[in-house]
Amino acid sequence: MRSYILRFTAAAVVVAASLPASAQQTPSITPEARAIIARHLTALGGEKALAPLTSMRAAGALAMPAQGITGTVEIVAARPNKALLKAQIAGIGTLESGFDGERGWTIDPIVGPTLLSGKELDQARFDAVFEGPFHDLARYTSLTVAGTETFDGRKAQRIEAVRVGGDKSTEYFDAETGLHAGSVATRETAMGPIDVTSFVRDYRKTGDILQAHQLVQNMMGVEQVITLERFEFNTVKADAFAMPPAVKALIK
Amino acid sequence: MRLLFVAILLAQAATAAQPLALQTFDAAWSIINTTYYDPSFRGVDWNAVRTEIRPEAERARTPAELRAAIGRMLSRLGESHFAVLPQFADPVDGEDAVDRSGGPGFDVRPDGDALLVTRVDAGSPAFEARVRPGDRLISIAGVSAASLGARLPAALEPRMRALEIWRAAMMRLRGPAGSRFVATVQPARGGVRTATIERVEEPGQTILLGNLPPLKLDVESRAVETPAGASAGLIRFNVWMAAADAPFAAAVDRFRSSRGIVIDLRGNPGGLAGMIMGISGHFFDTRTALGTMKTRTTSLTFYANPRRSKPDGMTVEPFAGPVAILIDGLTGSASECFAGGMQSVGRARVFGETSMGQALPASFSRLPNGDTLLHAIADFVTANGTRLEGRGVIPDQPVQVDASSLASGQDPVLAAALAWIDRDRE
Repeated sequence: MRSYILRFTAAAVVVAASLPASAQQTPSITPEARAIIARHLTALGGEKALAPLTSMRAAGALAMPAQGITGTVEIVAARPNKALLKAQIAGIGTLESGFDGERGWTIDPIVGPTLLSGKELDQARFDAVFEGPFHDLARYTSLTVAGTETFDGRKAQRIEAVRVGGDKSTEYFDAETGLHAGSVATRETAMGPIDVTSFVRDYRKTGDILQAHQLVQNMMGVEQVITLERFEFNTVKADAFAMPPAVKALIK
Repeated sequence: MRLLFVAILLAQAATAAQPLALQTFDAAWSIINTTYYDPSFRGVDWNAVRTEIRPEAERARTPAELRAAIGRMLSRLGESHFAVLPQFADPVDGEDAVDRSGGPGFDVRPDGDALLVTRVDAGSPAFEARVRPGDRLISIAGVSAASLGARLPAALEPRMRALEIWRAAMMRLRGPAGSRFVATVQPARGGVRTATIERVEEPGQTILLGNLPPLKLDVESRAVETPAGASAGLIRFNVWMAAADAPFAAAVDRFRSSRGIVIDLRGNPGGLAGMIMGISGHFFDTRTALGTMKTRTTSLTFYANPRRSKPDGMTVEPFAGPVAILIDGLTGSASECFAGGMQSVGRARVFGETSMGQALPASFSRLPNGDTLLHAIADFVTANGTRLEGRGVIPDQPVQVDASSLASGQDPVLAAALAWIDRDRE
């Protein structure tokens, strides 16, 4: 479950590195929803700023404040759909999860090495797309604006999203800045589906783009906070996404 | 979690207007109010409990009085995994915050009016002081063993009574490393004598996990022989912490060609429940459900994750031979989920004495006064639907430990498991 949290976080980071929405039209995506997402992508920096980015490496801290759990985290992502997340948590050890463009995996001292399959793999594949969830709207069967409400203390526009494959989420965009503010979704884990509320906070200028520096997830009475401080772009080498040997050995 | 987030905000909002004791009491109440797995609180009127006990918190003048008030509130739920853990670095407050970094170098179990020594660390000061398995402790530091349970309610279930007596005994046996205590010892061979015993730092790796007090992880494994002369592996670990995974995996690998493996969880009170998925995976070749935790909003299943590889990338087959699990009245929580889960799918045979019956998945949260609230967030049932809370894991083969067998160097529970491994292969 913890690996899942981290994997999801990787996706949330990449949200902030999104490219403008594809011009491809999908009938069930309303013009209002399309406009909100386009505004978000523009707010991040627009296509001119985002297109030159081919990879990203981010590092920072991880905490579960109420439990007093702390650690470090490193997130690596590259086009088109490679992702790796590595966390070192005091009292737990190293937790890693990744998607190498084909296979998704996790390894940690709680569950051991695992090759993802089924819905977990689908989720990892979706999350790993470098441009983020909103780049290619063809990955959704439906995006519908459902009004404006307060989310994470801010006035936010709410979009009900349905992915190809049927997964649903509620996405929130800051009404003032247009930036993605977070989501409420049911996520698949190694133990079954679980409801997760995510907050994307503290956007700051990083190079030519706006980058979220804090990601918060609430699930099952536990709040996890990731604070990212160091970002590098276009420095990631291809071998960064190699599976650990214990995971690679599971491939039949 | 969203609900807990609200609870935390409520606690913070109260900071300016309320004294710390009330903030702490209210925070504990709110956390449970929003995370307890049963929204009906199993028939307990949780609002009324707050109304009734809150004045006690308001009157509390010391941390101990506040903890007592919160403890009374928690006790109304009548379940395990609700406790206030004093802030580790707190000033001394009664007995709660005494340095207990040193242990006695042996383990005990309640035995009538005394404490039965079940294990002595070789080479420890206790060993040098001639304390041996099978000895009975009559008193510790001037406190008679018979008095340890004197304040417990007469109606307390015998297993819970034994647990509370053991806890009271360990409060006295543990203390600053290097300190000494005098014990009155009744050796198994007869007579009574006194022994001065130096407390020593308990063996193992120190684990610091969040707000929890420091834990010592001790993993040991050794080859043992069955009555028929076959080789078997014995693996024991004292708490479910992530650092146990690697040595456990290495031990399984070492015993992979053995006739059977025995996992000794006697005295193991639990830890990270999620680990049962990784540890059990060494004994399954397919993903297998062992049990389910049910929170207020969702059900999550603990699946054995087949362990088909080693850290170096070598592929292996999970151990397919017989697995025996040893438990006793101090086997609790994650250990019970593991033993009960393995038992429920027929993958292990369980030996010993019925476990604690304290098997609720829990979380822990920092309270405004710096203490930590341990609180159950889910119920747990095994794969065959057995609820372990209050019941415990009932051994397939009950075996009791007695002084004479311990004194003669025998372990009847282990012996029963090894004999079964012989029979199972036949």
